Amino acid sequence: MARPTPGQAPSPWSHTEGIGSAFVDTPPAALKSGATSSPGSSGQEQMTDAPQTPSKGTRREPPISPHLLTGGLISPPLWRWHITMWTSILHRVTGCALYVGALIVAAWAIALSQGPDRYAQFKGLLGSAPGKVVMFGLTVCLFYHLANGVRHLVWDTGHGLDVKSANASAVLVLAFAAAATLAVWGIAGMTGAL
Amino acid sequence: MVSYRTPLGRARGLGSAKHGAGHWISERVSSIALVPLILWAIYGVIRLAAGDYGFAVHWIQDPLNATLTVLTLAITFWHMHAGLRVVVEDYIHKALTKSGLLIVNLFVCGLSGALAIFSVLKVALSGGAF
Repeated sequence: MARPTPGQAPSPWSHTEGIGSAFVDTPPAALKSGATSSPGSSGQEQMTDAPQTPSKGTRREPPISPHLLTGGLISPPLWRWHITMWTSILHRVTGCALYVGALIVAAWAIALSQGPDRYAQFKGLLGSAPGKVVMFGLTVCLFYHLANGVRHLVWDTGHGLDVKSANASAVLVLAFAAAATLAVWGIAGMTGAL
Repeated sequence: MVSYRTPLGRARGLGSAKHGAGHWISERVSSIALVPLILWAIYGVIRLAAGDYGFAVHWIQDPLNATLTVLTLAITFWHMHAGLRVVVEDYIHKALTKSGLLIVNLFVCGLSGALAIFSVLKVALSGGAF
């Protein structure tokens, strides 16, 4: 927490009464003795009976809702991303991506019904570099959604819902998606499908 | 555990959603069916990717391949309609926009699914001849 130097102009929230004070969770007894919730408060300040003014290094941060105290995605102080949150969000994201993938499958069937020229054209499109990138991404999405879908089915039976199991199955699902994708593309490369 | 539901409410089984658990169950049942079907389809895609048009026609003429392809397509489009429906219902709260998107979702899934299945059947039954 930043402490103001004596020469600094007081911030709008540096007063004790007002908007900020209502949000600070300091017990009334501590407020009386001049101590605040600031981790920088030393024991000596609490010894004095004289009321402390905000200018004595007790500037308060503006009140922030706890869920905003993240400090970024990687190392937030109060609230952090859990792997189970990622897997939950990824299930939706990959599902939406596979929606597009299913439309590509429908296009394959239509191209097949339109004869050799259209079919060769369609295969050329999917076999191009951007096409392969899309297909690789869809393979990842498919295996992820498949594995995480099975995870959800297990949950629906009432098993594996505790934090430890859910974290472990999240890692397992992510590892499976990566491994299965590489295996399938390895097999595709060996069988001349690429 | 004490149940606070009335006997009539329990008999109807519709819950707060007013349409019961049918949608939820259909999502689960379709996903169970899709686990083996998708694994089979991945194997099929690897084989089809290595072959040309003639191979694809020959492959789809096989009754087992044709049947599994049609089943995979039908259940996939059913499942993806159910999935995106929940996404729309979760994030879109304006009545008109929500209804519109739900109808678009239904029509896109219905049309593309029907086109895909009809195309597969046409090739499977005619052998790719025009």
